[in-house]
Amino acid sequence: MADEEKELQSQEAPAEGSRGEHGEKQRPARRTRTPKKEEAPGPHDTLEDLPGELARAVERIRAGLPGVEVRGRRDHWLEIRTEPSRWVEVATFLRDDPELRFDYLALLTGIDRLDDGFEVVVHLNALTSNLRLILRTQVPREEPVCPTLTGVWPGANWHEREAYDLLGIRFEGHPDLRRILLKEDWVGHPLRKDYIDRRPPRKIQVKADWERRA
Amino acid sequence: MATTSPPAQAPDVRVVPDEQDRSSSHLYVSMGPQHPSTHGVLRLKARIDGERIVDVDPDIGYLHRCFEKHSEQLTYPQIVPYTDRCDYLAAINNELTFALAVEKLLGLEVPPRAQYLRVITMELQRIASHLIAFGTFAMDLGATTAFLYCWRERESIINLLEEISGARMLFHYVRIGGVRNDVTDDWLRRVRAFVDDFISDKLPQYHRLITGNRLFVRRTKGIAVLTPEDAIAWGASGPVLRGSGVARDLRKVEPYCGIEKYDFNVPVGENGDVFDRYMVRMLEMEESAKIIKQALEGIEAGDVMAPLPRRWKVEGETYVRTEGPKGEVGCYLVGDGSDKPYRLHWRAPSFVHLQLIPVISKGLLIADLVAVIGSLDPVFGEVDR
Repeated sequence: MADEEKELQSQEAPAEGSRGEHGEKQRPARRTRTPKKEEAPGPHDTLEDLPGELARAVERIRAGLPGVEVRGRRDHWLEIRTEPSRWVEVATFLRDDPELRFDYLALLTGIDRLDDGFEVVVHLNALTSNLRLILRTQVPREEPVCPTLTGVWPGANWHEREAYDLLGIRFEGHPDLRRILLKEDWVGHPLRKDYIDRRPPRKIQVKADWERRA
Repeated sequence: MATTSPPAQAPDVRVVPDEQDRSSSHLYVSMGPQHPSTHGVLRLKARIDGERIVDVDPDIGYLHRCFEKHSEQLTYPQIVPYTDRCDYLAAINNELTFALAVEKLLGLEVPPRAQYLRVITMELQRIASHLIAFGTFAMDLGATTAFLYCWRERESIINLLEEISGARMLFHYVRIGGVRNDVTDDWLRRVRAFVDDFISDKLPQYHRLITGNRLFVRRTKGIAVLTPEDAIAWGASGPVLRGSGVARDLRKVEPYCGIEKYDFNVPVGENGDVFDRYMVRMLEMEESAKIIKQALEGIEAGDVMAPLPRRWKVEGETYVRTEGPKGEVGCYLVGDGSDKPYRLHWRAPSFVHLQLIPVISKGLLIADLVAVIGSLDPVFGEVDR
């Protein structure tokens, strides 16, 4: 930090009307620079001093679910990371706890993290208190199996089917795990980072008007 | 890399034995994907007993283009026109959602005039989208006249938006950091004239034409009731959730574009039936007009575009959602520090709402299925993405 400040001071704008080597007018040095990460935290970074309501919710989760990572983010979303084996237990607690009541599932999706497997991310909302929470877990790439949340929030049904279709994460216990957007005999899962489209190229030739024979 | 996708091969085709139980009187009916009342390419596989629906299985994906995969190959400003194509009847709301997500990760401040212009265009777009929802809904139920009237008003909105953006449907007007260009005072005056006329003359016309119509009320009251508990559990949002009596509007809960300064109400229904969902949309148009009027009074001179960084380094992840005409439009964006997103997920309200069709249409007449689809107002550009 100290070096950077020195650097900044050395870049101070030259005095008014000063001339350069060849008598040209000197432009003031640009003072903007790309801020370092610790200076400009993004919305995903941890916020230590949470507002009262969020701090209470964090305490509540820590008390009810020992051994689960909880943090509050700068954009006032809580974040929980858990193992796939505790996935349904954590979700049920979050829905049923009388003080939390995360009754609204906004979004369930997956991210391909390459060698770290797949990440399943759920965005939850409590409609009465308007608390917001991100629930995430990681499943291995060789065996991408995650328990289903359809028993907790029925609205997770199609979200999970979509994640199965496009990323190949299998949701164990899902009542109707079929492909939803692609056709049933599609091979592979397109949203994986290593997906290669092996279909033969289409034989469509686009020609401009003047290139066409009459 | 641990796994690779298997090589393409001919799928093994099996002959499925016909195990249909012919002793029951159930009949399988396929509705769509080319049916005019399915608002796009939706196919409903319905099992019916006489005229009554036993079970419905919506079949989607006919418009799938894997927009999320596309956007992993594009830089952030290049993605904005792609988001237009999601909900193509409310393009401005989609652009806005994506722009807000990127601005949040970049930490950009949008100038106040751009905020006002965003609110004005967003609410104009909401009126246009609800007009289509209302017009096609009425037409599905046999009232063709309303559709033509709605098209007349939508045309005025589209002409206004065409003037400032150059496009008539996929506007690409809201950009990351602001809006595309400034508007003239004359344009603002004409928006004002349109809104005044719409509130005082056009909206009462619709109510006289449709809302009190005895046939319309008989077709919609008490049909396909969605209880508030079901609506919340199934993740409904927007007019579908509010029609069931849950007053949740993201413009109130998570304000964006300075919408917290405006004075407007959130209309809610009582019974959660088809009629309530219709009525919520009609009342929302009035509230949108109110918002536009306030924005036109408050608008101030200034820039419409924030200075953008020369090199794009978007890092971190965020989930930003806005209240679109159909419901909660969400953009889940994961950046890895480069100028292209690592992962983009689009939360489409219509996709979530289509799950409700099997839930609310059990035991209805098959003719009511058309009313149910119309009341959910799905748009297939965003269902299939």
